[in-house]
Amino acid sequence: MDHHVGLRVENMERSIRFWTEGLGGTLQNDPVERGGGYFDQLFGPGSRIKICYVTFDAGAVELFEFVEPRRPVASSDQTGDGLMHFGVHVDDVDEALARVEAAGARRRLEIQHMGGRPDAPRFVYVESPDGHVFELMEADTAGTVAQIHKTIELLAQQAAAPDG
Amino acid sequence: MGARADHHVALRVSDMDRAIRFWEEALGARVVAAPSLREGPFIESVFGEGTRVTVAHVAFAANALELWEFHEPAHPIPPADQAVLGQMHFAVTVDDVPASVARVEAAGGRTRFPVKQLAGGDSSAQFVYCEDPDGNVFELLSRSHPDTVAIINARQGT
Repeated sequence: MDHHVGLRVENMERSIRFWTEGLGGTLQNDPVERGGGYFDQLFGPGSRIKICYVTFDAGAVELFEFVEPRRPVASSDQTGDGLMHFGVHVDDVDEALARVEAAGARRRLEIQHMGGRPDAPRFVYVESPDGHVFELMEADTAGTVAQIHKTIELLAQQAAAPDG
Repeated sequence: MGARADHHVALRVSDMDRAIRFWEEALGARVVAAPSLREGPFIESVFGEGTRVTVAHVAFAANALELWEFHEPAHPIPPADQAVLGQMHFAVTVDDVPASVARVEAAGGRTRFPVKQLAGGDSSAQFVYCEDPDGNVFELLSRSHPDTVAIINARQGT
């Protein structure tokens, strides 16, 4: 399930700059305009798109700039969208956040500790220049799941504790 | 900088039990964090005041899904129109696309179009767009990401 995440973007050059400079990605192919063939079935008759891949140490984003139909990209709404965000494991959230912000991202909230516990690894929600939301996290997936179990356990203890 | 962009993909779902059953049966996911109700100051700081949400994690051979069923606010999940959405889809490498499609459909998902051959690839290089019971779109491919990129680059003569 780590093949890629497909993102629609408004300006391919800006997005390539963002994902390569901000998150250290590698552009795998120059954007090429495609249409006809199976694209009519994928995206509707007459659709034309520029596509490219940017890869990371693991995972990738596939960037789509629609030439036709051309619609604005709406900023992601976490309680309104189906596909909410994707997670990125980084060594240092402060450093990664500084880099993505310098490249044009903005944070959706301040850096948090998982479960709100000060001893837990940190994370932050950020959005790309197009408003795609991704999460920078200082733990890998297994480490994050372990933190979730800890949080659930603490919540259960709190619920069981007598008031006061 | 060592960014590993395969941590998880977060999906909003309308029925947690149905969603877990779907990902287990369709793609062999396993539950690594059972559904739990989250509310209170921390979750409100992330999603807004009054938020109540059930969260679960299911994991695959690579990557994981974070499933979110919001009780408050409870918005319907909009159809995943690829030419409208910002976050369009996520993609999954499988050994056999038609066999995986059969499992996806048996589990309550559907395909968006018939299985296609990747342009420039051989007949075993296949892909298809599917949707889960909530309409979230995911792509099945029979080639790994590096192999897919190689096919694209060969096609473009680069």
